Amino acid sequence: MSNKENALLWRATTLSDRWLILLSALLIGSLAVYLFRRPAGEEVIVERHNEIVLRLPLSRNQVVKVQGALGEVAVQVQEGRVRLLEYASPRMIGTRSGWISRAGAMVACVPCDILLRVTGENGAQTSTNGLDAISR
Amino acid sequence: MSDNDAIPQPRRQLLISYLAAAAVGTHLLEAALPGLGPWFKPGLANTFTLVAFFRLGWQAAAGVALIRVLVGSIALGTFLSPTFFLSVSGAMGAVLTLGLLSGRSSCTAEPSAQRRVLGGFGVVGVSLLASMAHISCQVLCAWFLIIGHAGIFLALPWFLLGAWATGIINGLLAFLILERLARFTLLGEKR
Repeated sequence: MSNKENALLWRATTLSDRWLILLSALLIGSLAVYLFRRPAGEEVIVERHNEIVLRLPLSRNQVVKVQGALGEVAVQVQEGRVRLLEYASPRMIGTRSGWISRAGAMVACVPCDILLRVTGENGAQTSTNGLDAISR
Repeated sequence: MSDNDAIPQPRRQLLISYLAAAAVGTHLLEAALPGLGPWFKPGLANTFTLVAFFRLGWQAAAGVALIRVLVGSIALGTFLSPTFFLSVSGAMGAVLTLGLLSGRSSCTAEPSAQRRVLGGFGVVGVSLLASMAHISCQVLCAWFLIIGHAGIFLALPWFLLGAWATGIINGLLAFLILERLARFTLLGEKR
């Protein structure tokens, strides 16, 4: 930023303005942190056709096979994270989503009809689940 | 509230109509800007609302804002559509903020670019506050009318960040316009 622009910013603002600029930036920053921070998950729930077929704690490393619409898929839990492994669906979006670990996070493979979702403290999820909207 | 003392009526109305015309023009130009998407608009038209506020008081600013929203939406064909209600709610939020900020002391005849409102805010501070109020009302309106899901509030920090940046930039622009405007004594204006 050139001196001229700095001078304009200085000339055009009052003391209150400068404080306001600073404080509102801090406020927005902390709001973002508050809204986007999610607790680490405790458990992963595996759903098929909207029914829970499996619950696994994220604290124990393991790989569990689950029957999906396109054959067997694997749910791998490791070091507090979980991922879906399947190689039969056309685009492998569920597998390519990678690891999830935060409460409310989800991974889905629609062709295999498998949904993984991580839940947090006492099974509670955050109110919005990080989604804009849900339709069924 | 008597801003009218500083500037006689005909001249005042003339300036309001100039500013409203400029605001409508900018509103239309902005709507034609490519690539900014439906979620972000710099809101440059609001610089003229700010100019009206600092030069003529908040009723004049309300006039400029409402004319801009009405004429702009009719010209764009969005009158009474959801977009229009988003526009109205934003403008209302901003105008109410201006009204609150102006208090009882905005009727001074001092050079308008240097004018202070309640809380010692100048053009940039007022612009920032009005911009925040604008986007907050729009998000509320979108929640009521369009989205209907609390998830929209997760996007609030991004909206506020945009409003923060554009609020400051528009405030600086309005300051420059006011400075320029103060150099001229137009017909019938008492200095």
